[in-house]
Amino acid sequence: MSTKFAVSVRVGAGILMVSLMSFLSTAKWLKEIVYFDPRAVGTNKITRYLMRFDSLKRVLPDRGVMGYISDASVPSDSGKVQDIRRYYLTQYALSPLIILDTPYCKQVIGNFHETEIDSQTYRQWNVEVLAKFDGVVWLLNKNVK
Amino acid sequence: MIPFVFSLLIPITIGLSWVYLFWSDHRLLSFDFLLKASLGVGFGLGISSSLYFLELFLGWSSRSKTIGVETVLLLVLVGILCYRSCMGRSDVQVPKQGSEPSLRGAFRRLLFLVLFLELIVDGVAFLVMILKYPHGGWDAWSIWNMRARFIYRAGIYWRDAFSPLIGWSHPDYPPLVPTIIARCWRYIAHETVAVPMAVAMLFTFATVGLICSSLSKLRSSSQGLLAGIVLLGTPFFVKLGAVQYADVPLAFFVLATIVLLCLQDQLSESHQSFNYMAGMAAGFSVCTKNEGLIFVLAILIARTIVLIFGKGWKPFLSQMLFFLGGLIPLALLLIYFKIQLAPPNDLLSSLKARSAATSLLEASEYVQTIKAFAVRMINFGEWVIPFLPILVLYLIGLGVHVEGREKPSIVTVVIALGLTGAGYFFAYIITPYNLKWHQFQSLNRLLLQLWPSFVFLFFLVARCPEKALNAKEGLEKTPDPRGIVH
Repeated sequence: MSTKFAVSVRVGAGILMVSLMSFLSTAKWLKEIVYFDPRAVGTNKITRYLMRFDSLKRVLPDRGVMGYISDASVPSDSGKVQDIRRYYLTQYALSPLIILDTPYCKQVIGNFHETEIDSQTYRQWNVEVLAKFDGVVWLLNKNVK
Repeated sequence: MIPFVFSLLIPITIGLSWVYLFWSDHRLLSFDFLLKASLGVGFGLGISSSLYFLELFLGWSSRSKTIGVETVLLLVLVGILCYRSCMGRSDVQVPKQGSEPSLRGAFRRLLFLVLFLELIVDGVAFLVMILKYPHGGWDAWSIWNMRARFIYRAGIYWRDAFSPLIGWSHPDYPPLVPTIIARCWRYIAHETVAVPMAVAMLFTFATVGLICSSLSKLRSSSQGLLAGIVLLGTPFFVKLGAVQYADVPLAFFVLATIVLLCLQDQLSESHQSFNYMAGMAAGFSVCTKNEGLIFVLAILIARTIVLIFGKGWKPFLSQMLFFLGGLIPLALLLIYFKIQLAPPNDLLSSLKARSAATSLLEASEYVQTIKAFAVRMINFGEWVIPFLPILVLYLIGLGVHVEGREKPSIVTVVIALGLTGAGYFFAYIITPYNLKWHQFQSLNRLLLQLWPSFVFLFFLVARCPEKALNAKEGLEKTPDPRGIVH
């Protein structure tokens, strides 16, 4: 009788322990669910960021290689990651154009934080502005002199 | 909406028909339907992706051709199945393991309740996550979805997706996931984030379905439920699925290969269909991520050892023939991709023979990697408390139970997972990157690729609750002709 009871307890404890711990871990998601704002659907960070390229896309060719310049974020490790992220997102938005992280291309995309950019920032790369889209995205041409 | 549903329904139906073709069963909705459906989801997406890649290669860039090819394939498969059904061809019956009565009463209800609640919570959480991150996580948009955009948008210039000029996006990564997304976009004739979301959801929940149903078949329903509970109770698994990382599809194909080989071991030598499907699943794993190559090498070594030493040369050759029959066509597709399209792998190309040799002799690299593996394994999964000690306690409580004829399957899985893990380990040892950074970036994801298979193995060797409870009633006193090892 005691052996039967011990086996039942062991089996029961095993099942309960695994089930309970799994369920508690699953319950971690409840916080995510409760704090989710349905109004935020479609307006997440990346979707909003990609919108800045909508106007530019209309004037770009279907295929080709273009350069890329940007004003750097605050110099720090996280700033560096953010700069890389902005460049990658530019490539993601403008695919299948190939965007190189260099100003040394015939045409260059400028992707800036601010609408007002110090002219020194881009003149150092010897480019001229062809068009500005919403202030922060520029299409630039390499000056050939 | 209708074209979107059809763009996924057609590959799934192709996959399901494919599974029925090799696992014939005159009853459509049999006990094994969940197992077949789970396999069908992965096989369907894999087959459609491979077909679309071939179409791209052949220059068939029109939508009607894509739809036409798949419709013809589906009709042919359905036709063969109907013909077989009419001819009354015998079914492939995998014997159901475990003669014990199902777990009774409170325990059974508890397991069903927990699994059901987890499915609801995880399902809603998955939806919340994909709505919050419709483009997926960093790797999803910067690698997989971006490549899908290239393939879909560039038309005849789809090869630009693999340009070495965008080496940072790892253009050498295998194309299965981006190709299936681009194929669905082609199908519905526009780009929508709903496609990668749906693909991610299908792979995530098909993995759960596969582990539950396969263990129910190979062990007992409670064992299947417990494995599903553990997998669904791994927040990191659901999270990585929801942010559309390719590690989850890879985990699915690794698990599918292992499950199919275990099912094969339940059949007589005259039936080799599961070997063929296992080879295909292994092929899809290679086409999903580069890590799939390590897994395929590991499973080939494991199977060779088990079959030669356990069964002899003749069964080895016949089983390998079928396994390779499923693997080789997909491997050829990948070889073409690697030779013709993909630039050199960043890890391998920056690897210098001398520095790799130096790293292999560097004790500190081993110490750091062992430490990283240990820490990540203990903290893996994002559980409320580390889960591995709980599994160890569970195993101590219920014990180990391996039947004699299941030994080959279990040894295969142990060797395959062990060798794959060792492959990952040595990839870190010789990495040309900063070791700490490399481990921080990827180790958790590598562990996740093997996690469903590990859970499967765990519940394959753990004694079923039914068996443990029946043992107390003296049922195990009956001599077992199959040579049970306790």
